[in-house]
Amino acid sequence: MRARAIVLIYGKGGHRAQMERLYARLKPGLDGRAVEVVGICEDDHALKGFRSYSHPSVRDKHSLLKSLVTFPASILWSVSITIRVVREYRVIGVVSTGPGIAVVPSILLKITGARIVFLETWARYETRSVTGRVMYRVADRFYIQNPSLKKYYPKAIYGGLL
Amino acid sequence: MNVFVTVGTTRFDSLINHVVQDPFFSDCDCILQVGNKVLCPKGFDCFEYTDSIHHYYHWADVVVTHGGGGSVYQLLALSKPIVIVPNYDRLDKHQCDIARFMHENGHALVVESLDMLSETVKKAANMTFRPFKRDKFFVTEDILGFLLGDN
Repeated sequence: MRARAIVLIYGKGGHRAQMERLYARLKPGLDGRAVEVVGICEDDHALKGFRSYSHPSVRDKHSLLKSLVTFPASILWSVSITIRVVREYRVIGVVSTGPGIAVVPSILLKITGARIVFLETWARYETRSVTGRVMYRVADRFYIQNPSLKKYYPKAIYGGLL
Repeated sequence: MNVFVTVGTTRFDSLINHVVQDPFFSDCDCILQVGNKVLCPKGFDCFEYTDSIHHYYHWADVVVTHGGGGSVYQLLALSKPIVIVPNYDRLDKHQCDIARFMHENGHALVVESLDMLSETVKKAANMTFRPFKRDKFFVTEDILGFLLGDN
């Protein structure tokens, strides 16, 4: 039987820092609950404490041309990683602090019955991230870390700053 | 004056190139975190990444930082005078969002044009900033309960 698991999806830089803080908070509540933690992280920026699958960036931050290549490649990676995760685990929940690598796995895992949680990045006050706009529709629970975002995401839950 | 310049995980070549060419930064004690070893200029104490960034934060009188949330919030938690330079080398210009908020609320100075950088650093060194107070994250139990199906 496949083990129950929660999947944490996170990028590098600030996205990683937010997941590091969130994981430290979630961990005590997960211990003893017969649920494993599996990560999907951007490139080689894995956090310590659980196993993470490496995922390439969706977009190149400097070149639109390169993004034309990385974007479709990233979708294929997402599908491939998600299949590997689902073969091994029964995923009950997904939590992500962005960036775009969260989108495809979240949609696929939602179809398999997982509950999807997304936290809009802490760096936003008066603008929405592209990933946030998409995940606002995908996620079952959508959290914001700055109250000023409530006007852009009316159904979001304000949760304080990580 | 001790100045620490940090760009985080995404290259910010135009900032580093400016700092190298501006005599103000050669004249003060300046250390650079550049995100890419290739960029390390001669005559500067410089590294790609470090696991002990707090050491440099404490050392500095003023920190020049990119507008990444991780760097900005850590520095504000230390009540460090900071000058935020949003990374305009990126295609997405999201770093101006947090920069504008911190500037408008008196928590930091922001540089839109690199010509103003040295002047702004001098200004920041002699300024008192408004402390940044955060609402501590309070939805951990909420998230856990939802994921585990308890609520």
